Amino acid sequence: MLVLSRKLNEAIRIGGDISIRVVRIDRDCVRLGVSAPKDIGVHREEIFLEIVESNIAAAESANPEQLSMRLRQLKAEATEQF
Amino acid sequence: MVVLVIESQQKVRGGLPENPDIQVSLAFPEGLLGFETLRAAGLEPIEDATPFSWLKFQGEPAQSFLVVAPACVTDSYRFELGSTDCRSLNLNRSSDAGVLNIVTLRRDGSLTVNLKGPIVYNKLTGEARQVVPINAAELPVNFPVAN
Repeated sequence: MLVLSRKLNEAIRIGGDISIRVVRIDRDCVRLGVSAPKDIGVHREEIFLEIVESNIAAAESANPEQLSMRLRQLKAEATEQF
Repeated sequence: MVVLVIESQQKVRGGLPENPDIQVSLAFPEGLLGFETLRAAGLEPIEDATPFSWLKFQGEPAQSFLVVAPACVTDSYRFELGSTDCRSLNLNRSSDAGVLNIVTLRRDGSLTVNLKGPIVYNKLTGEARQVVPINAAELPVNFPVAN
């Protein structure tokens, strides 16, 4: 991993069109300004972690018998409503 | 610069219709997030539980996920696919893109759908990828499935 030191208002550039600038420094929090083309997703890492956690929960819940039973129940409930 | 906007606006009421745009075999060159070793999957509709399907990954151990087409669970779903995802899926138009969302059975018996990290596939080639849309921050990861 490349590790760089930056001061307030200094930036790094990634490729020709992405820049990440330090816009504020508090005690344990750094505020960054990201400039990137609109077709590139810029996300907090937590978004990826949320999706990973959700995938794990889905994989663990994918017990065919339990799920089939629950889906049949839901469908029966839905049919009653119509 | 390519951003494809993918929308599903018509919720199909009653949970009875077939999954639209079913393609039986899907190839995931990068697996799923957190499951990077998964590759080839088959999509199998669950007969007595339409519109849900099993996305069954081959391999040791095999792994299945319950999936649903978003139009069956929500009437307004819109996400933006970034250029990296469009390139890796060889997608040039949104009409060639199929979308599936992973379903989780919660401990309380409720079902939720992950709208934040949809599976997008190319209907012409079967290439598939779990994407993080450009507008992912505004999409729910645990969207409740209404009965």
